[in-house]
Amino acid sequence: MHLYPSSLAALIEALRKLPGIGPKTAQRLALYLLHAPEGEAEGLAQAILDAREKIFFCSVCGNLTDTDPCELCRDEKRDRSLLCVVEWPRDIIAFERTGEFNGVYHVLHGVLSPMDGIGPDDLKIAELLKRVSKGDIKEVILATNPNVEGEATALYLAQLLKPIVPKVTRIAHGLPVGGDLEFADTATLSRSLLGRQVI
Amino acid sequence: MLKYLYLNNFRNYENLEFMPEEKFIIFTGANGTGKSNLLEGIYYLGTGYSFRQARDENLVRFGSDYFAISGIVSCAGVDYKIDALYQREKKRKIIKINNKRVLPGSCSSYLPVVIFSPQDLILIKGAPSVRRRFLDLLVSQLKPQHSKDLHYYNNVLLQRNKQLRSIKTTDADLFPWEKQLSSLGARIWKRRISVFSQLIDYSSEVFASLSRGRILRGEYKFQINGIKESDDLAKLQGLLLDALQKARPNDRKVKFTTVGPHREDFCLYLNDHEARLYASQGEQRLISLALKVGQYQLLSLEKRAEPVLLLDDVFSELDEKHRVLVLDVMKKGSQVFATTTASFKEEYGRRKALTSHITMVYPKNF
Repeated sequence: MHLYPSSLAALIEALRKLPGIGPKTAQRLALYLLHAPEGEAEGLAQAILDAREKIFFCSVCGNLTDTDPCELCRDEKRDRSLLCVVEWPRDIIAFERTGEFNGVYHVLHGVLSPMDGIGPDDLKIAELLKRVSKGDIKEVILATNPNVEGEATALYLAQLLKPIVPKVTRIAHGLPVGGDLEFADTATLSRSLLGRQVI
Repeated sequence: MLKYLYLNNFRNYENLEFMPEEKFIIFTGANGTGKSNLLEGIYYLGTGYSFRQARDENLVRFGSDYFAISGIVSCAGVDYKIDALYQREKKRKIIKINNKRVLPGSCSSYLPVVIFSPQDLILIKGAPSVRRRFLDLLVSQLKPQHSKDLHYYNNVLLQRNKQLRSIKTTDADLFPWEKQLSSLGARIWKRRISVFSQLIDYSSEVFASLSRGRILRGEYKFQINGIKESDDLAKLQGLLLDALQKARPNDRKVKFTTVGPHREDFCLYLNDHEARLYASQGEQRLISLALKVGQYQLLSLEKRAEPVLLLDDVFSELDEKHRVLVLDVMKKGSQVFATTTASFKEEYGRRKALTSHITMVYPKNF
């Protein structure tokens, strides 16, 4: 059955490959782009090409950037002795939204997962060690996700970092703000007991 | 309590919907008409797997590529909707409670099921994995966190095993997984030990009354030396971490994790002789029955959800005495689904057709 002209079918196929886009949404987006006002589709195409061309990973922290080093790494007001290790660039954005953190970051670009064939050499761990061994860092905060793989990665890094950094910390696990004790699972509750603080 | 059941492409059912009108239902019909499949569907909803050691892909109706089971259960006066979906091609299992996706096994405390079936004998005769699964189901039915811990434990285990298969694995690569195995494993141990000792208390009492005072004992078999049942979590965690680290050379050779709760078993003794090896077929049947009754009694203490009894063809398998015992248990007003090929006289109870081959009987005297 012949449904669409081949160039339109190719566009739908290309859109379908995007994360979170199913066949119906792909079709809807493709048809929208065909009918969109003059310049909109061209603008989108140009924006994609520009971003692809100009965005790369910061040579210091591994964040997405269009200048090297990135803006966060160049910022003089930031505390360079405090280093926060995250899994992905999007985690930096999450921390930056809080406005509470004034240190610098290091992006691992993944987590340890033997099941997916990802070992220490596939992450930016050598870069991290190199950065830390320069000696100005007083504390490393391990901010990987509190799941099985994130926890393993934090434990692995802690082993390597403890001998060379004065202080290695792990972000706290516990109850969500505005949450309800009754609905917390026991693992979370017991973690929050372990991490309790004096008030 | 189960209030509504819907089976879609499950075993021989393309579409079956039914609402139990009374607490006690007997499904009657000829062999091969799908009576046990109904119980299997209910059991699956309450556990996330089949009681007949069948794989998920074997539960899909011939000519279909998925099955779905939905149910409404009432639990402490509140209704919950449970959905189980399995897609054969993607090998994907989705369990939902009130339309929210949960880990498989999370339903066990909402719909606590106890099955009595001719297959119960494998609890005594079968592999350690059968007994572990039985014990872990009971623990999850009583303590909802258990199924989550098991799920995470198995995930970490897969990661460590995969790591062991790589040639250049160092101790530092193994450590993060071992650390997590030990904290999850200690929690699994703690719950298993406490539930197992309660179960054996109930079951040996039942067994004594069935067998004129003979003694049934049970013991949880730790693989690791030096563990006492009274040890606290931190101590257990330390012992497990230590054992995992000591097992590294051997684990590297065989390429999987050889110590931990996932390799353990419990052992039953009849008058101090191991039941698996020395008890007769009849005695083994009695012991398995005592274990199931023990499971039921433990669950009955729980106020939140009443256990649902599934009796698969037990009327033909058990002799008179045991039938009385099972019926005794049922009299407490639990919900019961039973199957049998026997036919009942008109005065036994009201009847209603479920399918063209299966008739439901609601017995008068319960």
